[in-house]
Amino acid sequence: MGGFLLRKVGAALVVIVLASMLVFLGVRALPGDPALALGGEQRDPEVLAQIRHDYGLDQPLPVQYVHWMGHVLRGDLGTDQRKLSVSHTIVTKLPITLELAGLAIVFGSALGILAGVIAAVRRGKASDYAATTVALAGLSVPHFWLGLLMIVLFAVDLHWLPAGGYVPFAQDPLGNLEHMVMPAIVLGAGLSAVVMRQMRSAMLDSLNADYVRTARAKGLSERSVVGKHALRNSLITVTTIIGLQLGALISGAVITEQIFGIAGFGRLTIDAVQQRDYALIQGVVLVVAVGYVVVNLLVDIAYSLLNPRIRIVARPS
Amino acid sequence: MSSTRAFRATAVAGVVAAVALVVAIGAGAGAKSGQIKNGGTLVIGLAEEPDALDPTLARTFVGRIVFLHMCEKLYDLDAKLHVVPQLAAALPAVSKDKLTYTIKLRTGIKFNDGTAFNAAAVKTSLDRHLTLKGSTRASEISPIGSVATSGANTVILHLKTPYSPLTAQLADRAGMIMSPKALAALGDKFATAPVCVGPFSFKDRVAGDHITLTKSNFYYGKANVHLSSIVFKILTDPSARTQNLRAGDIQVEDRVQSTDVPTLQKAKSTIAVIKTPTIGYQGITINIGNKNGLLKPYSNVGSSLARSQYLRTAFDLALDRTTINKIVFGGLNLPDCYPISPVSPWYVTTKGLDCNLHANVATAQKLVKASGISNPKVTLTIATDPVAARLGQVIQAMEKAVGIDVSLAPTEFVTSLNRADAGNFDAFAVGWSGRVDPDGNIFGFVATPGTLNDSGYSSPQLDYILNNARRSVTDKSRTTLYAAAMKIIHRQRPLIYLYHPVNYYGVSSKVDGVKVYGDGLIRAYNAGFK
Repeated sequence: MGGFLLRKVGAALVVIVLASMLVFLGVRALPGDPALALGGEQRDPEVLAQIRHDYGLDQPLPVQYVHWMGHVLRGDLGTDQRKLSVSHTIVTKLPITLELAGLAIVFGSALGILAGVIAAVRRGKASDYAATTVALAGLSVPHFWLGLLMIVLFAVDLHWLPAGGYVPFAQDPLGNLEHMVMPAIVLGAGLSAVVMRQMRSAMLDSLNADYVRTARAKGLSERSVVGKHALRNSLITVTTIIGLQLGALISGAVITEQIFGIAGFGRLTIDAVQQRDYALIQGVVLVVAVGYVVVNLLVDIAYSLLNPRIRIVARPS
Repeated sequence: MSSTRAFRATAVAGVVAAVALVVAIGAGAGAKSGQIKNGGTLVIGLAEEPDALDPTLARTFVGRIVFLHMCEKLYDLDAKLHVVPQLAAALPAVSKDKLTYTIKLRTGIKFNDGTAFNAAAVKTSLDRHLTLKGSTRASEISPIGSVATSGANTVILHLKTPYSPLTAQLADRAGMIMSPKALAALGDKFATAPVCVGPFSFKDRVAGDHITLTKSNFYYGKANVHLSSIVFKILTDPSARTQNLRAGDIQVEDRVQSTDVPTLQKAKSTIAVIKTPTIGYQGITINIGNKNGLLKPYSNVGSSLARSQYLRTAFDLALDRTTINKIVFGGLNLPDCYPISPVSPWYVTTKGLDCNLHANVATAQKLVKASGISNPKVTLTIATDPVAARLGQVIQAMEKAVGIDVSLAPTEFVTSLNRADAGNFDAFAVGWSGRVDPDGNIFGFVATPGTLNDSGYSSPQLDYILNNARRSVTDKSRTTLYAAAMKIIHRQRPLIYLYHPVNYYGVSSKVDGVKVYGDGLIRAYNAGFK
């Protein structure tokens, strides 16, 4: 087990170093001089040269990379254009987007599963067509349009919910939910459609399976057949789909955060790219890359604990 | 040309009347303290996020809106954009040789940390602007050789060379005075907790989300400050900003997008729309001599437009500015042919000059022929947003009518600036936010040593006039010089000016006292809830 772990951690470290290089070079491959973006309307060559010097952009690339990595290894991702700490900014923004994605998953899954079950159980009936149509609409409607529509209805006309912004949960739990309801629905709408279609399909398979026929033959109630037998088996496929959609949700959060004025991780990324804020882009992308590597590492370890054959197969011959 | 001139005279009269009305409306929106309650938090939705809240380092336009509420300056602007004293007691006394500016300061003023505002503090800030690594202000006030004090309340600026735009520069960030105590404590981290003299003091900033200011207890004019706090909320999506205003989540909307203006105007019982023609402009920079890059020796680039002044004139005459304004901007902007806006006191420098607000196709066609260039082709660099695309397409169609083949090159903004500086363009549709002093709208763009001269235009005659305008102190002599400069610019057309943007701001009817002048900055320091 020790050797397996060492190999996995070593491979993860290599991936992180390669990712950091890719991030570093990728940011510099963006067209447009960051000094010009930083300078605003100030384009005096002396000022631009000073900006390049201040941000170390006048140094050779290897020197810049080593300098940056030196700070990263000490836990310092640098200072952004606003003179604020990149690490602190990321630490404050990431939970906002994770909360939004989490709520979207809750909403999207709940709605999708319910609609999928109803559609499957009432296959070919009006409720099936209605659920399928709504799912298609959920997939087709752009986030920004649905978001604006909801803002106009629930914030502008009815004044039920705030039009945008974010309140931390710890500061005001109810206010937090009020602010997150619409963004979560908008972000979760696409997921609910995907889940509904998968759920419907999986449920139809289950309802036609032998074990369901057996359950019915045993004289179980329809509620018990659907809820305890067909639904539980169908959830395995749907759970996998929900997990796969997490990445899409986080990237979808970029637009949702923009519409609802939520200063989360997605909006931070877009703003950083638009401003050519190298320190911020590098920090954001590196954190995401490390996040993916760590999650994959944990998954590998979890698999190996659950299935010892993986450790044996992974051992070099 | 006489009909054009007559039309222009009428148009100018109309514009001046409209501007007078707008200024009157803007001024009329001012606080009437009898009707305003004390207390409350005003939320202003900003269109972009400010950069560092450090007057020495700051670069963004939107940052100036925040600064206006917490960092006062030696000089300020009045509603008609005249420079007036703010922390200074009077306009500077200028020596005969124009090399010494003596500035008397107001007394009894405190910074928002309770320390005294005095000449030593002014010297500390100006020295920092001039010497701090990365200072954006250094180039703005570079003619200052040294700063001295005389007693506690007099500052003396010794200039290396005469520079009349200096007072206007001191009415912007270069004139903001920071608390020496805070500077000593924070150094180059001043932006994390800025302290100046101002009606509000900095409370907190959540990156990408908001900046909060609270009413200052030390401010000399606190009796006229009604709000307890102001929150600047960053809402970069224009539609979302408007919906936030309509929902009542924000009370002031920064720069309403043109398509949302009618929606807000319909909601006039709950929202007032402030219309403000700005001192900025939108134009087309023509690459004439930028062959080797900005500020490198200029020589003609040899493109159709660069080769022939006739063709540049034809290009200009083909443009129907009124139609462009109507089709692209719903008639919301102010078509014009000059870098100085009608809201500026310096607009007088364009008096008597012609401007084709409507196209003159016949003359343009003749000029194309006279240029001797057959099938002239022009690549026009434009931004990537839909409005820029619409503007480009309209220009393309208008130029086609006179025989000039325009192809559009939509380019991401920072990349387009890079290309412009490198001289890698034919024509570039780009704007300028505008400066109060005419020097800030002209010199940098068309003088040979201008740091924004992407056109690569170089005229010894124009340089001579613009340098003299920098040295002249009286408004009369400067007006004469800038009028002469306008004639040359209009004849040679290194830049073809299209219009001055008119900004629209949404204000909740629950709020009174919000003002916006021609500089486009929201002033809410004396605002309050009704």
